[in-house]
Amino acid sequence: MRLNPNYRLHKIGRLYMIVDTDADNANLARVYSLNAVAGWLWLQAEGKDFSVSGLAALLCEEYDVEPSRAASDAARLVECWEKYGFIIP
Amino acid sequence: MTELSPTYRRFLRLLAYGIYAPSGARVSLGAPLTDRQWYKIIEEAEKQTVSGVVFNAVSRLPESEMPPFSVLAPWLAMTHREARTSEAMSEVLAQLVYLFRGQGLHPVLQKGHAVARFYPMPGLRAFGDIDLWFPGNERAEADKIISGMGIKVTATPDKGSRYVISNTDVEHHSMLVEIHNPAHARFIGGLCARYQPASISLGSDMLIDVPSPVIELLMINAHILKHCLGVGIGLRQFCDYALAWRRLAAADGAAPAVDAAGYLDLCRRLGIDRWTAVLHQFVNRYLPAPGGMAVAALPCDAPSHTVERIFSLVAEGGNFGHYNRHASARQHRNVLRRKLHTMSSFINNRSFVCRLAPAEAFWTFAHLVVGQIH
Repeated sequence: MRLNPNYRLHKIGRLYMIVDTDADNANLARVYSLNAVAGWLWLQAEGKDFSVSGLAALLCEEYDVEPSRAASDAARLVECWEKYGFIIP
Repeated sequence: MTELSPTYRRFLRLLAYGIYAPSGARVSLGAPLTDRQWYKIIEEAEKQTVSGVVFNAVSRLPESEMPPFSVLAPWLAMTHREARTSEAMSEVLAQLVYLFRGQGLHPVLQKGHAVARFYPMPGLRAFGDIDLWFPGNERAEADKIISGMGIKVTATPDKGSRYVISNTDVEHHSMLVEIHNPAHARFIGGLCARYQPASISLGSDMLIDVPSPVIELLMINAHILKHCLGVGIGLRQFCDYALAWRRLAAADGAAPAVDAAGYLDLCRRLGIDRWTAVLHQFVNRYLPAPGGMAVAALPCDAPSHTVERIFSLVAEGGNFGHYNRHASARQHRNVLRRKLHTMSSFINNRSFVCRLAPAEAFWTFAHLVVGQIH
């Protein structure tokens, strides 16, 4: 899977914000906020093919987290990103 | 000196950061603002059509000064929308240039779209339309090509033409530098022949011709003067001038493309030197470059409040006086009344500006009277 190129991440201060660049108008509903961990993972995944297990491995490398916890967090994150259309197969 | 509100001063500071600060540079206002102050800044940035440029500065503030998500999110979305519009217009521009060149014409890109290259992030400089100029009799040929595509081309009051292609407004202008005094027509013609257009790349593979550096500075200068004399002007055009000067006439550490003294001689020759001195004062007072590198301070015998009066015109009218014009358009729906309103704006605004360039003001007004200026 890959990130949908129509969504662009901006790091502004400590905020990670995603804008739908394909939206017809500048609707507030088209701007999304990510927490720091999700924002960091987005940056790692940008422009590449990635998998849930790959994201989990990245979490384990960067943060002090158990592999099982990283796997479940990565799966939940991907599920959420799919729901909002941030991911294309 | 008229006292600006603290919020307006911060708006100007952010705007100056937005146009001058190199990408990646951190900026600071010194203290956090309230939501109310942020909304005022956004309102003014929109009015002056510089919201993307100001956002560029805001996004580089330290965390302690950053506006909340509720302020940032719609602003970011708006900035994206404007950037997308700019990208779409750039594509239309590339197609038009390709089309005209294919027919043996030599379009020259004028004003905002060309000037955007001086901004730290060109895509954030908002555009209203695409402005093209053609040498000799090529403009009529260009109009014919567009008409031949089934697109309606209408004449503009300044002897140019206008049409809409791919949802983009395009104007073909009859003048490269808007100096209306007929006594200078030959001189301007000679200048344009002497200083041939330069080719630049606007991000695409295609090279596009823009006026030569000295003509480009004169073009922006005269354009601001025309609008100060007429329906009004916005801060965006002063930003254009400040950046063009900085890049072309004050190149830091390198030989500038424009000899400042020679340029100012040209202004004197064209009778706009006092106006140019006030223009430079305006930039230095309201859009000062952080860390110096001001535009050249010119000797000026104009009363000191002249700069403030121009600022009032800018602050009240916004981009090309559109804020005033939108309000009046509701009252003046028919064409004749609108034209009369434009003329009365000219007379009201002209009284103090015309003393800075009297001959040019007279001829600009004369063209307006005969309906040559919109």
